[in-house]
Amino acid sequence: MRLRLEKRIAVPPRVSLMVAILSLVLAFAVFSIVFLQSGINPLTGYKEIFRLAFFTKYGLYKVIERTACLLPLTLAFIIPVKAGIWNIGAEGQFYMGAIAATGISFAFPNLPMGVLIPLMILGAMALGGGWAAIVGYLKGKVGVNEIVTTLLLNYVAILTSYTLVVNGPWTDPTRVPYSRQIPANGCIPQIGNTGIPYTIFIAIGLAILLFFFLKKTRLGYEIRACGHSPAGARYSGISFLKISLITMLIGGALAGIAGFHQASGVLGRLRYDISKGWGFYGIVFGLVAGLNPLIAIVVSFFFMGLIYGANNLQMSPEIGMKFGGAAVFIGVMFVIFIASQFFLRYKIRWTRRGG
Amino acid sequence: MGFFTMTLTASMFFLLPALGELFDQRSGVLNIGLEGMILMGVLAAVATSTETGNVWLGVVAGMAAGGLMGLIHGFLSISLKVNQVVSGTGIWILGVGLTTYYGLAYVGPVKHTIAPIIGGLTPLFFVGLALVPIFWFILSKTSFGLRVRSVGENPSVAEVSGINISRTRYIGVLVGGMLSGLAGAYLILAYAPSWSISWRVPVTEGRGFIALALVFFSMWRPFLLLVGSFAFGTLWIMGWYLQTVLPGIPIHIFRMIPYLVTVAILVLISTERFRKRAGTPAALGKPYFRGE
Amino acid sequence: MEKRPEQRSLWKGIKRGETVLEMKGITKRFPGVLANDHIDFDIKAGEIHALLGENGAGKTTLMNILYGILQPDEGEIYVQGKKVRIRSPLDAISLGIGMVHQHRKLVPAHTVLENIILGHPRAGKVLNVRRAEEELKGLCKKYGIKIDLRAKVWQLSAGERQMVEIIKAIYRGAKLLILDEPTSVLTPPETRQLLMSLKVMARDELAIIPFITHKLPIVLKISDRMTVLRNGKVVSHLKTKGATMRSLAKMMVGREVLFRTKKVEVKRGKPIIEVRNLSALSDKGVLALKNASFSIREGEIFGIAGVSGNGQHELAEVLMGLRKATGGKVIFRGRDITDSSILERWKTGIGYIPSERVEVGSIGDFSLVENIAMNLYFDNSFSRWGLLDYKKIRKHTEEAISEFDVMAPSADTKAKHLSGGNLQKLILARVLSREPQLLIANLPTHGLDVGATEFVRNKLVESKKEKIGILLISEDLDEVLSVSDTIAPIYEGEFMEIVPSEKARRDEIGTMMAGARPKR
Repeated sequence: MRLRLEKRIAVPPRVSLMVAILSLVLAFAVFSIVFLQSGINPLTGYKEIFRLAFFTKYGLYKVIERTACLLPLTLAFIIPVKAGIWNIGAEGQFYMGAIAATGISFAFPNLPMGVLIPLMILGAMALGGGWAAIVGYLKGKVGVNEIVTTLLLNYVAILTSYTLVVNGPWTDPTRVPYSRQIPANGCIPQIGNTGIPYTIFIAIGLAILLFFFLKKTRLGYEIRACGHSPAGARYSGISFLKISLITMLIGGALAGIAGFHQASGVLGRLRYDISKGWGFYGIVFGLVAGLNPLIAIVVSFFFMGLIYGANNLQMSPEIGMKFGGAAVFIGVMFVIFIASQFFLRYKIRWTRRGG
Repeated sequence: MGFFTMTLTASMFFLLPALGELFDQRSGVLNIGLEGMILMGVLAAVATSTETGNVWLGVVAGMAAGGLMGLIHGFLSISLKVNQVVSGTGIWILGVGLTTYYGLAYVGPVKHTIAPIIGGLTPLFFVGLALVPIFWFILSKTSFGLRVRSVGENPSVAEVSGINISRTRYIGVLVGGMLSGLAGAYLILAYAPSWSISWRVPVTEGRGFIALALVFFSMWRPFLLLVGSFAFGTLWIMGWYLQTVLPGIPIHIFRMIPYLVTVAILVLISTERFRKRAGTPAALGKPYFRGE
Repeated sequence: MEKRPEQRSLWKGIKRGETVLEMKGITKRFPGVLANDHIDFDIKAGEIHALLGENGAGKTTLMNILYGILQPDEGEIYVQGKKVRIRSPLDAISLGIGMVHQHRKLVPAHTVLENIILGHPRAGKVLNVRRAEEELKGLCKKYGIKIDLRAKVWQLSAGERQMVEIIKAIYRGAKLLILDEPTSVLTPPETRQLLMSLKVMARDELAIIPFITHKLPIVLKISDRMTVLRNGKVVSHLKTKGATMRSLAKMMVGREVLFRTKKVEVKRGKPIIEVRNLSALSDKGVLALKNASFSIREGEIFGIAGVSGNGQHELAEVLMGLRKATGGKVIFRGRDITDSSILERWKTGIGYIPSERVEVGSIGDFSLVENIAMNLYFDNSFSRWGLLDYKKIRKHTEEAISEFDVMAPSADTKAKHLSGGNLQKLILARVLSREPQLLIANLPTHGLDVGATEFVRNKLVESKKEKIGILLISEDLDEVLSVSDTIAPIYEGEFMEIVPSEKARRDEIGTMMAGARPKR
């Protein structure tokens, strides 16, 4: 007997769901080691993660607020990769969006909210998109490896935020190293007293819109053609430069919106640590979502819930200060979910050996 | 420390992981999780040396930890055929997670460090320097090196020549991981022996990504990598230096220079004139499927 | 690990005519296909044994099993009467089996020498370049082969690369050499050279299995014995002496084959395209197309005959805008389109059937509907407000499938699941449905089975009635002769002559393809 791999022709939804559940179980099993090290019963730990994230009002609102950030970041990865372009730079584009939004609010503090906020969103999309489009242009025109350039430009973007807020022109003298507060009319309102900014509707709306964009539009077709076969797309008269520019522009603009959300809707200012590596989470979420913008809504909500729960286990009366391993939890979960992709693409069969 | 010594010391921190990554990429595996592997090297080195009091055991542990991360990357991208970029991202996030959690116990100045031997340079520096010609020799003059290069260029050709693709690539990721781990050990035991954790800027300060870019810059040639590492070490130190000369300008502006210069160089080597001579491994980033 | 069988002891004292290899009852299943169905096959020392069959008959599968790339589901292999298991190419190499693949198995970035010693057991831990070089020089001399061992492989011609592979196999101690379609990339003189070398090798007690599909004359000329496969089964084992082209073709196809194409006579109309002094570089940066000038009229098939790699591919790509011209002009209906984009050319009425139908002409992961959309997505009658009218495209697809007889479960089937012939029909249907004025058909029947070949040729000829001008590029001289109105043999990027088909003589065109200047 030996193992044989067969490529799956199609993945039934049932299989995807099973693989996701099994991955989760496996991740939990592995991470139990860390719980046990800290003297926590793993079952209590996981129960508390779910409870804090999905079954407390405060937690649920927080998770939705973060979904509003992570969903556009996930889409920022999905759209370019559909054209075969690996945007590993959502992190930097996110910073650029936050910088633009903050900068505009400082430049026009007296504009009415109805003008200032759209202006900030547009600015965030423009700077995030423009930042990404540099990479798109270099990739399409000269063929520069976009993975490396996006990674490098991330640091330039992050360092730009440092320059601005750490003893820089925007520094809040009372709260070094953060920027001054964004004026009140530059802060996007929150739904009731949930603490969730209205950006959540923008995020979900964009996910739905992009789903149909990819599926139904001419440009969506051109993007998918490039992703599946650059040579075939070129033969059909599709300009790779155009697609590379457009998809990176869209991706960057999406990440920019997330930056706007975080600065204007959540923190009310620019911080050098405005992202916690979230731009990279989007890559994993996008992959787990099977590059489907609609599924990305569910995936980013669910994962941000687990992450929120793990990050805030100290708030649980049953666990308290015993736990600090949320970062490990994220790492373990991501690696196992990445590994699980294999089972979506292959069937494993035991076969009798011939010959 | 003089400017020159500082430059050399800083350069070595680029050279070590980049050399491993070069080898890794020559076998066709791209590893963007370099930073995570370096961090694991830092953690293992500082933990082991603190617990045992022996810095050299720390170095070995750092290499082992990096190598282990390399093997995880290998398992994901070679055996499970997951996209290498995604796998690398996962490895990086895992490395950051493990380091922030288990590293808490070792925050602060490192107790045992490796002492300089000549001109302010530690033995590890000379080890790194010696690795350059060794890697060059292995890659271009030995049978094993030819096999590694062939797997990175065209795995199906290599396979019909009787080469085990998976094994060769596993060696690639192992070497890449071990050198990243060594870089971590070098960083914490010899170069900047103080362990601090803040979210945005782990001790590595994103230099793993510069090392990654350096591999592209070097056009996959060890000696050019050496030159590149010195150039970037100089740029890195210049940041500090210029800040004292021109105090009005924030240091972060200077910090951007290496990243921007790397982008510029990448653009240059991607142009028509250089691309042919660059010698990018043709199968870089592609998983290998038998019989397809 | 099990010890690999020693080749030296196996091949010692073999005499000419002795059976050295036997494959018995080899069966191999792929999902949905029975690729090999209880195949028996044997080979004797010193003989050239041809394996014949159409594409998909199971030749490649059988040889991949022999070379250890694939494992059989059933069946046994005996070398010298001893049962062996060949689990990897390395096992095959140890048994003295060498293979030269149809898709070249060389690393282009490496030198010839590096390629040859790659994986060689005696290469030494540190590469012993000088010794290998001397030994290889001796080998080349023995078989009359000239090759620069230090050249990079990407700089070599297709024929030279094949020679490198043969030397590589022999240098690794191959006593049994499998050649996959060995003459498909060779010019006639190169073919003669190869056949001569093979005869010498066979005399050297090497057993050689070349396996060939279309080139029946060569099989008849060189082989001692033949095995014919069809649909994964052995149709016949026979001696070459006494076999004829016609009987072999019938065995391969399973019915009487008439390589005949309908003749359609139409009056030629106005010129569609005029090409003046066109030049272009190849991928390697070498001048591949040199000052080509010609014109094509409505209802004319302009056939370019040439062995691959003589600039015809570059010409097709330049005309479609896929490659830049380095000199000259392309005038389409009186308009200079030399610098037009690919999309503009599709829109103005140029259609292109690329030679790489899997990599370029179709998108494997796309459904047939989406593949048909490749030439329609930009057409305003198939989209509104930037949205594609998939309903209309689907209808169009279904029409194309039925009209061109594409065998596919549904319009939602992915293109990668179609056979080569059906895929080509789909591409042809798609491009012709645009009603182009000029059709560039680059190797439209290459690698297709006889049925699909006939279909494609007839479609091309019929489309003359629609006043379409066709540029046909083919490596098959008979195809060019039977279909074209004008024939242009090409050699090293130059047309040797441009002759009307009535005046074309087969042997003259053949020698011009090999570089001979016209005598007139």
